[in-house]
Amino acid sequence: MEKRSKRLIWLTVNDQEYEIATYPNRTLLEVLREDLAMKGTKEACDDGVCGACTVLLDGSPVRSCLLLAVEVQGRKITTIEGLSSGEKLHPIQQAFLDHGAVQCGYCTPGMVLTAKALFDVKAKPTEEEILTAISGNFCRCTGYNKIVKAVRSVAAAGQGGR
Amino acid sequence: MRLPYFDFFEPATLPEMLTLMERYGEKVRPHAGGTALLPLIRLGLLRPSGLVGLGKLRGLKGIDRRGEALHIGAMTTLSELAASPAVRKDAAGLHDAVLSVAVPPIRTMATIGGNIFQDSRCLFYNQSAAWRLERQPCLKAGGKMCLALNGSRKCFSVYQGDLAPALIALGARVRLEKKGGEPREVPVEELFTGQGRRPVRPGPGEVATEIIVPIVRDTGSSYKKLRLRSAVDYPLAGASAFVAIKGGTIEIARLVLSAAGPAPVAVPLDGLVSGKKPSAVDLDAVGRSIPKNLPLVNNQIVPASYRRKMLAVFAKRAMKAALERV
Repeated sequence: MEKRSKRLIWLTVNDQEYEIATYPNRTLLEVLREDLAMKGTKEACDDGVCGACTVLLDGSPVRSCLLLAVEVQGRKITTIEGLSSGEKLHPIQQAFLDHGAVQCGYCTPGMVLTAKALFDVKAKPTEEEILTAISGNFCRCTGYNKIVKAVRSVAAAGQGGR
Repeated sequence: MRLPYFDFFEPATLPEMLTLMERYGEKVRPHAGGTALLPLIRLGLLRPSGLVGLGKLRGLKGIDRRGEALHIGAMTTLSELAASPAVRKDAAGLHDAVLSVAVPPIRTMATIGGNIFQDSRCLFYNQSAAWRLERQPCLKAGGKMCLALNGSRKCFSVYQGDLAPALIALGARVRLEKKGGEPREVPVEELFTGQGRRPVRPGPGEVATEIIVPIVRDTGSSYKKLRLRSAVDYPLAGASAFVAIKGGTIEIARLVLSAAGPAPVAVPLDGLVSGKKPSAVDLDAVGRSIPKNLPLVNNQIVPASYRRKMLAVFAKRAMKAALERV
């Protein structure tokens, strides 16, 4: 265990495969932001508490600050960059814009991805299901009302899924 | 903050994993979901030179009903437990506990084995390196005395796992394996040392592979937890209750407290519940029965005096819920 060696790993991010040489102690968050320049995934508490670093792993929201890049090979990773197609925003992103659900914006990618994962399993979730789903995403601007309204509007329209 | 360098092993088979654990001993840590482990490494509280990733060991995953028991692989995630109809039906107290852990995205990664083997916590220990640099190291960090109870030679860090108390109430056992030795099964409570500095550990080179929860008919179980936020937080007080009924009378009753010291605390109920009809149980007496000498000091975000009171309240609530579920 004396030598510090990099590993050559393959990550599938937003349906694109990437070959990356990385040290085993680097998190998925670090590799996404630094190696793949996907800065949409945010680093905030770095302790697994806040949810700013949320990405989807095989469709489920997870904390990318608590995942090692080497352990997610072969899994399907979705970041906020994978949601819009070009200039056209995903309906959840559009709803956040329409409802002014963005203040400083740091929690937004995580909120949007968590909402997407919820809609992927249930097109019209209840209010309680929405609140439970985003309970792990902290907005320190405390703009929860507009965030919940935005997510609810997508739920009402039934257009949040894939 | 960056994680310091460590090597990462990904054994593909159980014998390979046990060989690594034996070869490197204390230098490596088993890595399950990583949700509790990585923050400790980041804070510099653990400095393993390698992690042994258990993620590739398919045999350690899954919930299987065999005979009158649920066999749960140690690497089964909390989300899988939460979604299991068998766990909800036959181990309701465990199901409650699982749903009370952290938040859904963490439960997707966290495992039952990792949850049981989490370290104890203290406001004077779980802090950044910069915070700790301003003070002498506490007992748990290798110093000479406890900072929470100044001058004390005893560590008062609190075991705040939600699952272990529920599993102990259900009478669960854990299977431990090591290289070159016979696998052994021990009751979950025997994993706990009672020492805040090293609250829970298997023997050298040992790894938990399976948790076995007995299924008993006509039972009720529950878990109730105090926390300041309805998400994310570790328990500040909690209780799990289990009752088994035979012929309209309570035959077995167990009450186990969480966040009540360096280990889950089994409360001696001394005939307060067993031998009675469910409707005749004096819940206030159950609340009063929790030990008076719990080693609680002011090392959590609410005072010890409040936590002591709340343990009695949550013990009552847990027993009430368990009785209602029979």
